[in-house]
Amino acid sequence: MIDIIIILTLILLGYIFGSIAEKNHYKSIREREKKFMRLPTISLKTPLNPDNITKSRLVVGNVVISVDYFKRVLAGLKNIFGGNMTSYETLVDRARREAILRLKEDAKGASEIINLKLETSSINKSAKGTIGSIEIFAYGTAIYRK
Amino acid sequence: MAYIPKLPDDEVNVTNSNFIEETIKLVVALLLFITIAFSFLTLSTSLIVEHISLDTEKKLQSLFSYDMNIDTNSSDKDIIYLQSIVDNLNSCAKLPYDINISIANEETPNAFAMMGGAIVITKGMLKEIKNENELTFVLGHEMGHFKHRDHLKGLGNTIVLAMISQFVPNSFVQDVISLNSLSYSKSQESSADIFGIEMMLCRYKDTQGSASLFQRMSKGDKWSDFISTHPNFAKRVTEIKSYIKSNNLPYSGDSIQLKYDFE
Repeated sequence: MIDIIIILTLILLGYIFGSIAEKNHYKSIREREKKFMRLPTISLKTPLNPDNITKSRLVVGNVVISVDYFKRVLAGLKNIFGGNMTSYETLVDRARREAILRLKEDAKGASEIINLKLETSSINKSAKGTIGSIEIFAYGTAIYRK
Repeated sequence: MAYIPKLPDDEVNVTNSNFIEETIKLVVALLLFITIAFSFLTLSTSLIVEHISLDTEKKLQSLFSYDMNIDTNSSDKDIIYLQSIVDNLNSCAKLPYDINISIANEETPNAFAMMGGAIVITKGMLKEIKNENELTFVLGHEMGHFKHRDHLKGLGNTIVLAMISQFVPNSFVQDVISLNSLSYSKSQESSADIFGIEMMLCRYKDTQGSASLFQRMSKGDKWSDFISTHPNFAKRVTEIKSYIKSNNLPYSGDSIQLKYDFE
């Protein structure tokens, strides 16, 4: 009986704190995306305009986000019945956008970022009984112009 | 090629879904599935288990290890005395088992019929029994469960729960198992009572003492634990008495003293 109570408490805590964290994170992501909207970030290998380039350098953004207990339980249920892992979608979405934002913050004064690439890895992938987390690593080339 | 700045669209990569609603739906579906699977397993096992042969029952017996707190130190003379009564009764009952009796180290008065022809009687029960007639009735009652194969009926859910407990090592499941495995329906108890009366009649040519134990039980609070698995003593006393009356059975003989008081 005590096991069930512990699990239910974890799920409830996961839901409450997970929702609050997610809401705040999205708020901050949207604000910063507006701020960096004018910095072009593209996946082309070469700059659109090769003129006036003073320097280029590698810029990186990296983020690790953990899944909460509630999301894990929901995903576990989805594992049985199949269907979209909707509870993980927000997690990956947040991580991706956050990584790109950090990359943009790294590229201070750049006129554009080219060759943007994203790498994903999952931490604790194989460890049983641990809560999984996702790492997203964004990297690209910042172009500086006169 | 002009670069057009644009904010990411929130709706594209994230499904707009209500997690709580989704969870509730999935949990209900899962519970429904478990209930159906459990009922199906229980029902089919119950149907099969009543018809298993004695040999299979004896084999199955070893699969079940009830935590009965058997008193391994109980004195030999107690066991021998109880065993002699059971063996005598079995010449009346003609059960296809060798009944083995053991004493459980429990203060709660109770007795159980287990798989494979084992009767377990608690120390608390032995203390409450005042004469040999009452003892014979209690043992006869348990033998009635064997005669009617009650101990196998309703074993379906015990088997299924035992299977589940292999995957879920949880005391909760264990509790359910021990509760389930030891409870019989009212009609099963009634017919076991009648079998107990028949045993007394066969052994002593008299039914004296068949109701006296339950009569005492229906009064005391001490029996609340027993009541949970063997309900309605007052009703059972009435049933026993009316059975004796309607069949004109002798109920006048002297009660036979126990050979000695149990330790």
